[in-house]
Amino acid sequence: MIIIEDQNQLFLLIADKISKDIECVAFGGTAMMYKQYKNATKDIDLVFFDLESRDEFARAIKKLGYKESNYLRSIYPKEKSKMKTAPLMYTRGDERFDLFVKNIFNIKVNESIRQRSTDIRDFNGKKLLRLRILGDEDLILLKAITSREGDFKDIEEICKNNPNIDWGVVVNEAINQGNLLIVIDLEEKMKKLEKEFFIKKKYFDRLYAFDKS
Amino acid sequence: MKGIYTLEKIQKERDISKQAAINLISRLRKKGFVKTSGGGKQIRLYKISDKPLQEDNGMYSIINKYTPIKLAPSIMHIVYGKKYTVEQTIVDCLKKNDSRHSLAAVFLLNNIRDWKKLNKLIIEHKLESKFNILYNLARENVRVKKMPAFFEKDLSKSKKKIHLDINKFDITGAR
Repeated sequence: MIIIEDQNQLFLLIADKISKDIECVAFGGTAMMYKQYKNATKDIDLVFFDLESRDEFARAIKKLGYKESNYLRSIYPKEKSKMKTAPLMYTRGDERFDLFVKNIFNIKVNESIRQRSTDIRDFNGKKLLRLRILGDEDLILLKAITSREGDFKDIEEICKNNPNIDWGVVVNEAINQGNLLIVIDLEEKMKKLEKEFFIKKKYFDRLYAFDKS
Repeated sequence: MKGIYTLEKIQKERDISKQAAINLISRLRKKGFVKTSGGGKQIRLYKISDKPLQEDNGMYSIINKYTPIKLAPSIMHIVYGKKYTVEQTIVDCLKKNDSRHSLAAVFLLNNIRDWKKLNKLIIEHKLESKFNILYNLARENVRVKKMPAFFEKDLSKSKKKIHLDINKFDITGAR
């Protein structure tokens, strides 16, 4: 487990090791920690917009003693795991970095997701490491498509902390991704959430309309 | 306790003495839960939160400190490590591609301390043409320091034609 202060110090060390400015998006537990929804996280999840930035970041953490592990590649489909953009995992002791490029499992990290990440943390070392913190709506979408233990609890935590979740944005992004599995997973989680939080019927209707099309 | 408080309000709500209220605020401030404003002739207000308050020390704090353009932050920008400088702010304003941010950058030109750093950043982010237009507009309309010769030479290399969403009416209006 890593707490926010340690994580900030770690990012500052990385900012001193990189040889070019890097921008990436933090999601999962890391994003939830910056949004003060969580106090600690098991892994540091980052997604990069290009392969060069991810490789540069990986090079920097290798210098800090992180070792590559094959776990993420092993859970990916065979053809995808051979691709250069397949996620990389680096560990050192308790800390773990999950590094993605452009996609997080089925979700494509597009320009609109980037624009909605309006919380920015800059780590000003020798070079600039810019972390965009994923918006609440996109965090919910990502948590909705994974069925890990604790993900639904995280969604509930986000909804409790932010009563102004724009479900229209969540639903639209799920539809824009153009993947039926994402829509089905989101609908299932929204149904579960409906018992505790109010979600307008029109958002469900939009999901069902996509399903039929 | 959550919201904006005066000392009297805390005393009343908690039914404690003035000294006890001061001590309470002091304890909360140390943990980062309190932000104070006012003082002197103004009444002191305490913004108390249930989570540690994160202070925006990035782009918008510099814009609102050095320019007459006061911008409401559209992003939350927190910087760790080396201090975020005026030079970096100018580059980030130009990258925003929006007239209000460009206008703010005009007024930041007088606060540049390290032209070499700005030159490096502008070339790195390929903003030579935008900066050229911005600087010329600023020179025509507000008092701006003359840029160093090496900087001018580097900027003149860029021949790219671009449009910057700002005009002299914006600048004279803001002045």
